[in-house]
Amino acid sequence: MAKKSSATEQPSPYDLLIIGTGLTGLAAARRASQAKLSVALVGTTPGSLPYTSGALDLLGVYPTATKHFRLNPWEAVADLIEESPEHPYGRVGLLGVRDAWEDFAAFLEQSPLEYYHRQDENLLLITAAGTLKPTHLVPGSMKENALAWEQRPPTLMLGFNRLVDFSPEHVVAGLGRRWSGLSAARLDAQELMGDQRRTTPANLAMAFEDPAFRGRFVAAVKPLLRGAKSLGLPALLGLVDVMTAVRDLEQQLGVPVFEVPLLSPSLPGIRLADLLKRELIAAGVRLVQGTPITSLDLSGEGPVRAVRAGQDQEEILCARRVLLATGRFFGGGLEATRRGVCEPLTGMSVTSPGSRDDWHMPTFLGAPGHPINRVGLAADQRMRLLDERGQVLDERLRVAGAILREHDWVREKSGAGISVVTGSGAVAGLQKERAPEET
Amino acid sequence: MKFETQVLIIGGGLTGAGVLRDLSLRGVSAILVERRDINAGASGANHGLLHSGGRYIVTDPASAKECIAENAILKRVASGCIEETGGLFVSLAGDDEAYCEEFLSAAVEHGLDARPLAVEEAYELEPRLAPGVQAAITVPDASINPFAATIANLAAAEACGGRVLLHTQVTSMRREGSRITAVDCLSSRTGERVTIEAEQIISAAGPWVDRLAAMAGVKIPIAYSKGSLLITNSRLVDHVINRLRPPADGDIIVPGETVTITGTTSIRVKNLDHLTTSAAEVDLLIDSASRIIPALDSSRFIRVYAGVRPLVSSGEGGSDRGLSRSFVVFDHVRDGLRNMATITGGKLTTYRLMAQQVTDLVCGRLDHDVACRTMEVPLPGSEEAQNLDARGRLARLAAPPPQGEVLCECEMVGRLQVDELVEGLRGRGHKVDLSALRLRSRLGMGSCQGGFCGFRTLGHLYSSGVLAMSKGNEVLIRFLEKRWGGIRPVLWGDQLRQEQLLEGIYCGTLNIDGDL
Repeated sequence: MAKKSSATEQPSPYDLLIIGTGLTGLAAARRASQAKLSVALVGTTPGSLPYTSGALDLLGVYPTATKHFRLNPWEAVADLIEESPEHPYGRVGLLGVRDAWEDFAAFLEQSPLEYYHRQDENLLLITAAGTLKPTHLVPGSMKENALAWEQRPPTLMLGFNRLVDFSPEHVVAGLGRRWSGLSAARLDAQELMGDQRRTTPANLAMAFEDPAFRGRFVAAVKPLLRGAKSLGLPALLGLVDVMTAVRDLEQQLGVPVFEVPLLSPSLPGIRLADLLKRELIAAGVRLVQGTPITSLDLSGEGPVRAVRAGQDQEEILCARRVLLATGRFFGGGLEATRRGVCEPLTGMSVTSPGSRDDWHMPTFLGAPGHPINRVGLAADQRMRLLDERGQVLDERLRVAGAILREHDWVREKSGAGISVVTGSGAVAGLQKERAPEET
Repeated sequence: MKFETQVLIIGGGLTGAGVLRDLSLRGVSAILVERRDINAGASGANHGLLHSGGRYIVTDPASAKECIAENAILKRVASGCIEETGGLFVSLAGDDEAYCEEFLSAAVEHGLDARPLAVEEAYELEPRLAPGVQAAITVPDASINPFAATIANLAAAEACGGRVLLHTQVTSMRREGSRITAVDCLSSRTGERVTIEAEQIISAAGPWVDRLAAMAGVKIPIAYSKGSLLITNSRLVDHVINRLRPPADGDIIVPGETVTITGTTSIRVKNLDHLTTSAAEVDLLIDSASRIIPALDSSRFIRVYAGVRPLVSSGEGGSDRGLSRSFVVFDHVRDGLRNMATITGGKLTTYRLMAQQVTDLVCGRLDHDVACRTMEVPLPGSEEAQNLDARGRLARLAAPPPQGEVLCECEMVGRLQVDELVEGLRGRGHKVDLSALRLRSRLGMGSCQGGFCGFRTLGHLYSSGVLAMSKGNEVLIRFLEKRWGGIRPVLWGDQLRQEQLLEGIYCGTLNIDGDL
């Protein structure tokens, strides 16, 4: 149907070019390849998942102004949609949110990472800061973590000498007042690794994939357990395969073993990104990382021509539809200068609070959240990009994920949900328009 | 708790520290009290510029002469805190050409080592200078680390018996007739009341001297002028750069170790305790400084800070830039108070001279006839002339001594350095928290502004048993919120990206903002 462009090296345009390899892009690509669309997925960086804990939030806090923790995420989503129809969840609608999220959850539960969730309940995850973090879908390696708070069994938090990214004593300092059976201990991993390797996160993660190391580790931990019924470790139990180590340790120690999420870069986030990418490549998605899309040619009516800056030369990617899943400021989807905010690929200026004085609150961590976090791009129900007047900017441009306006995922604890749900929503929008074409 | 001493000094900035050291060197027993931590006022919120005198040579020769003399003295006795960058004054198109001539002839008159430079030479020294430089003059400006200077002064004083009580706020003074018989303080660290009986009292409390004077029943007329400064995340120049024109806003650029500091503004304020910097003020500073160094316009700024200059006003009218930047010693005998003096105003560069003058006054009252030696005895760490140029100092920064695990990756602060600082703080009975460690090292000074290293260091403080477990994340939250005030005004571009990463981690991953 689309006009063929003579300048492209591609035989035929992709059905969908997704820009951004964060969770939004990955989830959208998965949905699109399931729908038999031809997909190219291009990211400047390996994406933002390495900066996340690997635990996936749907909606943990609403309203943010009162920091209200919600045990039932679906009731919270329903309230949010009713009160804030402009929120990305409001765009997708309750049913759309539910379908997309449950589909994604089912996929991850079947995956080698063995994700776990309770359909109608948020879980409380113990973090490296000794805080509790509401979340909905956790990697199998954090299942016992997310369940520990309910019963609070005698639990040992174990750290390693010279590993500055995890202090078991810090966890106890955060939770010990409300958890008398929580204790801290540390081991010297250098001795256990038995060679000259330094105690770094990467070296430890590799060591935990080695059964011989795990054997030495178990022997060293046993005397430290002292009646603990559960063991928490920094989230470094393997680079790729974590469940083998978790099961092996549990079997040998006779107690549940779990990972505690650390600051970034985070292995559980990397494992999830790798899993999704492997899946997509197997499904025939073209995945290109490390080179940015530098411009979009939206002239004419045919496929969009996107320029990708390659290592040696530029490549033109043609696609019938383009999904911007480029994230917010951190991902580069939005750019802020002293003068204002814009979306760099379309050059659209984004409405922001009048003065930079109003972008952020006087406190970093206070409620309800920084006004700048609510700026972003507007979309309709099909995730078509809207201009300042609320009109579809270009039928071919779709938008999903954190770049959308009217949410504050860091306060809501809704980051993964917004990514998955709007990424899927964008693909669902494409399917809706394809259906009549084919008939 | 009760102390008796010959002299009580109020204020733990560089001036107070200098006074404590001067007295201690002269064999006078002295205690310094500071309501917060070292350099909490203007001593910790300035350019870190050791003036050559050039900036005031035309408009304020008295201040200039003080700077000329002190610049030479401090390069001798405080070399460990100083980087001899040299300074450039440059004029741009539109600047008054006559000012250059005035500058040079005033320099000759007052003995400032100022030399005109061919414009090409100026570009050779500083390739980032804006095109169109009309004239350039070199002067012996330098950069000075005010934290290192205060720490060295306090350490030198402590070695001679001087005593320092931080986080100790003066709450009242007991006056009987013409004397203050006792000063009552409150330790915010322990909640304990502290009474100090001193023969003489020196107030070196910067812009807060009027409040202290009021406690003694004395009035000091003072105005507060706020100056804001910006820090970039990289070193863009190797010389202190001034605009060759009468002093104005935003026209000094100072290289400080790995960063560049640019400022300042001069805005009258009434509230000293909550200084903020508006977006408009930030824009003014960047626009003004980038006329001299255009690269500043697209630089990544990591922080803003503001200090208050105490201006001893002579009356109304005129701009604050026109007021003398010299200092004032108030001998409160004229107010009927025989055992108190106040020292305020002045500049970082003249702290030693200020300390000397007020110490002379007080020693006279104590009939203690020992001469000042601070112009000849080097500070600890400055015993050997260092004279490291930029390359030498950067090499020293790049190859720090073995420090154990790295806690602060931006500024390469290691565990062993933190352990040593903790030991020093505990040994002196000072408070140990993240802010105290930051002031005494470069922890949290880099691009992440403490986001990552604050977390790691807190973990280490718990692991090593330094902090009581009951404190939870209070220490971290307080530290993050304290840094926030200086981060918030520069959040665009890459620094906003950095902030969003940290917010994602602290709120998104850790829910440290939650109340679960």
